[in-house]
Amino acid sequence: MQLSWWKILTIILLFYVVIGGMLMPIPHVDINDETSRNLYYHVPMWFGMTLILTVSMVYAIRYLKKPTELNDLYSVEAANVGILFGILGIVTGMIWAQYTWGTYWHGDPKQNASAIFLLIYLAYMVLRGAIQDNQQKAKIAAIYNIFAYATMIPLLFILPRLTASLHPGNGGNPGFNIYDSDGKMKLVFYPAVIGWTLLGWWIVTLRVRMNLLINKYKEQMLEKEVEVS
Amino acid sequence: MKKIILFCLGFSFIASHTFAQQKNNLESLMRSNGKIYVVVAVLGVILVGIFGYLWTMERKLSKLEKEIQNQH
Repeated sequence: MQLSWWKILTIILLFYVVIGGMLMPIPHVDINDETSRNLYYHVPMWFGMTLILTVSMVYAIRYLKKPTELNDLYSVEAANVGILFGILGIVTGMIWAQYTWGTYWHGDPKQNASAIFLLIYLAYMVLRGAIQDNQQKAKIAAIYNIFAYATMIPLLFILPRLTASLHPGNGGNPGFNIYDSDGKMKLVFYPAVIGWTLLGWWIVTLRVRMNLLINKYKEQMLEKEVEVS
Repeated sequence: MKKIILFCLGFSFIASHTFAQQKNNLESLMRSNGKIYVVVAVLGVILVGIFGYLWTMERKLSKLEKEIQNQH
């Protein structure tokens, strides 16, 4: 039972974010109404995704320097959870867009760019599945991981700001600060980013431990086969 | 296990009479403030479900890790 301090912190923060996020007062804006509260759930999915994918890239670089099983496991599981957060971010964004912007998808540059970004990482998973040999798989995947990560800044942060976008902070729109006129939303938003990101990391560590056990089990089975024959 | 279930059923049957008063307060609370408390309750259940899953995963993995360590 690896009950670390940051896991307990995750539980406390997320209960605070859910209960406080729903019940604490927020400044009300015309079209958004109560949906501004999505700031505590939709946006941290993206913050969490970028943070966890950054860790995935760091472990990819580490793997290239020192090819251990652990480095590769952290890299791939962090990429998995990053993709999960990205998918959740897109789906929750679509729901929010339908009832505030009028359609689930209207070709908003940030929506399109984030979809492309996710496709690039899904290709990473396809790449891993296509190679049989473990060490080759890990090396090629690590190299791809670094290039995939490099597409993040132009796709998610530069492109939407250059063209007409409805997202706050992009396409000439004022940043979200204008919706948080009394600064109270920061009280729940910052813990939300920390809480959701830590939750993602918790899932990464669990999956890494699980895969380590599976690999050890496979090794033991192989040893037994060799002994018997 | 059976004893526990039977006990819970019997207790809730008897206690539901005394809970009538508290149930009314819970009803009116959940319907107040635009029923936002319903949303809070839903999200709370989801969170408890997620953390419960993570908890059981932690326990299973720790058990397996100890087993594999002991085998070596």
